[in-house]
Amino acid sequence: MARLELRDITKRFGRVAAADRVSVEVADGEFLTLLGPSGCGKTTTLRIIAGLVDPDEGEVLLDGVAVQHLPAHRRQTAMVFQSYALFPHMTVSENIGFGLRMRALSADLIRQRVGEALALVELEGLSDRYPRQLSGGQQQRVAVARAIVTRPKVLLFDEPLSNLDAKLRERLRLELRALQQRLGVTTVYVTHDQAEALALSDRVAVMFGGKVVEIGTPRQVYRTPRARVTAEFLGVTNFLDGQVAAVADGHCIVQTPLGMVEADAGLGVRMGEVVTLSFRPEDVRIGRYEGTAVTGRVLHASYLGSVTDYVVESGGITLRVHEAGGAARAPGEEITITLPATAAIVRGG
Amino acid sequence: MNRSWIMRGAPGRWMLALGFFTVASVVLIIPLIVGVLWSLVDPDAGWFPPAIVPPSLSLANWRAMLAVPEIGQAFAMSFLIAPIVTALCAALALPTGYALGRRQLRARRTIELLVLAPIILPGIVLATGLGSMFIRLGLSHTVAGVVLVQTVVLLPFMIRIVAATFEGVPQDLIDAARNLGASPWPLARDVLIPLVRPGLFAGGLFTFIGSLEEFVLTFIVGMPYVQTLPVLLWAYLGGRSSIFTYAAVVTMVLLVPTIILMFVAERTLKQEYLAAGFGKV
Repeated sequence: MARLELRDITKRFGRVAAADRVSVEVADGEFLTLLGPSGCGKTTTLRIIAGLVDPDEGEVLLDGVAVQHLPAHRRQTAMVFQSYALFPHMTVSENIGFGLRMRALSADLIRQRVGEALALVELEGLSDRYPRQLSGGQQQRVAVARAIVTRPKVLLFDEPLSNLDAKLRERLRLELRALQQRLGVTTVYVTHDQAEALALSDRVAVMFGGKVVEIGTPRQVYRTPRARVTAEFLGVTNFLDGQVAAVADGHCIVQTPLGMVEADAGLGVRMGEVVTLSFRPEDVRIGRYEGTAVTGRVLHASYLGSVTDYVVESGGITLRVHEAGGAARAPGEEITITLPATAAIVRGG
Repeated sequence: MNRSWIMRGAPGRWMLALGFFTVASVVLIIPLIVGVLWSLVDPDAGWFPPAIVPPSLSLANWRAMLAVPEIGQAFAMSFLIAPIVTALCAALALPTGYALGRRQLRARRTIELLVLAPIILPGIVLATGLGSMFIRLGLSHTVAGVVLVQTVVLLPFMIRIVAATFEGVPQDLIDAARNLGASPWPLARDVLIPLVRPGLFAGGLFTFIGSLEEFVLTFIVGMPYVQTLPVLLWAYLGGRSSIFTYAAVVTMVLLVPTIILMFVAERTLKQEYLAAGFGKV
């Protein structure tokens, strides 16, 4: 169990900065996700924590002690790889016991701890199988068992679920979270899947172009993103430009082409400033409610099961609107929509 | 759809198989049969054209050859040198293969060329050069000298194969081992070497057989004290007279263990490859 801190970590590959002054703190027992598109530097950052990549600048601190000069095998981190990286020439129990053998524990103790780990991931019967005799989901569990059995200070995950089919991914997601909470181990998890990040994490760090653009709870980064790229990357969103008409008590009123919308003014907005609002399709309601209501015309409708996704045009602006329930509105239909009671102000290009 | 594909593919495949079989029989099987027949020729009757098979067969040549102690000694010498050369090549190829297969070396191409140089050079050039050097070093006419000179020519093949195998080891496996606490030596012992074992096996087999049949260098460095089977073979085929019948017997003595070895190794190799298969990744 440990507190992990990255201070101004920079890593360049040639001219490209894979990690650009990355600073993150992870509290003891916290589950932090690095979320971003491929090539954003999240995996490089993870490998720097593990010691598999040396940073050009910056510090990695474990419980306040700088460890960036320690070689990988002395870091006391344990990583679950995207490919699982199970040793093909070792059985399941040999794979799981590998880290313990490297720590020169007694054979009895290794057997006992491997047994516990196998029970924890519910693979008791498979200890003598080889990795190639296991399904993808089973291999994934072995990789997790192999990582946690060494009781690492920090547990690292590099897109561990991306090679599994959707159903299994969802189930293992729940299991991973439950396991992490039971063990209370500090965890850094890398993914490009926003649903995974939201479901698993205590906090999400959104990365773009080697930089951490935003850190917050899943609710914060989804509901009130500060950066335009965050809002865009985490699901579908609507952007609406407007001018600040009033500021009070951390809130402000923004005059948009569609009418007044209230927004969170946490970023210190000024009167008269031109800002971009972001709000989610599910925040726009079809029908007339309290708030700003406008009329629009349905351009497209696609039925997604849990909601119907509409593209609505109003005053030359198109909005995405999600409506739950069975009502079907055909393209061309005139509808009234109510803008959200509150939106987020996002910055950046 | 599927059926029509088979129908279309079938004649092509059959042609390919037939062609392959023809080449194999001309290059491999027919000489082998001729060799067996030569070793069984009745010395009293002989075997002259235009007879396609010898007029009568006998075991006389075999009896005569096996009565000579030389052949047993040459056999022992061959099968003493081959394992030593193989072990030495494996030991030398592991670090070199690792460096070539896994490290980002600036001078990689140059090093590879240097490693391959002994193969590119004609054997006889190498032999005369090394031969005179070995005399000065006192390595001529010794088993150690023959082992060394065979290692020089066989090591490049071993390095090539081992380097290619090292190249195929996924980086994630190495990273995982380091991440789990493996320092360099345990990493090599428990992960890298087991993972390149198929390459070591294949390269070792190649080296072993290469050592068994190596002639030029063994002859120049080893003669007259170190006599392996190919050197003995030359005694019957070289010089002024060619005693085909005796040479054929020596060939069989050299060939049969080699073929058995090939089969055994092929079996084990298959198992090894299965065990080291990188699974569903």
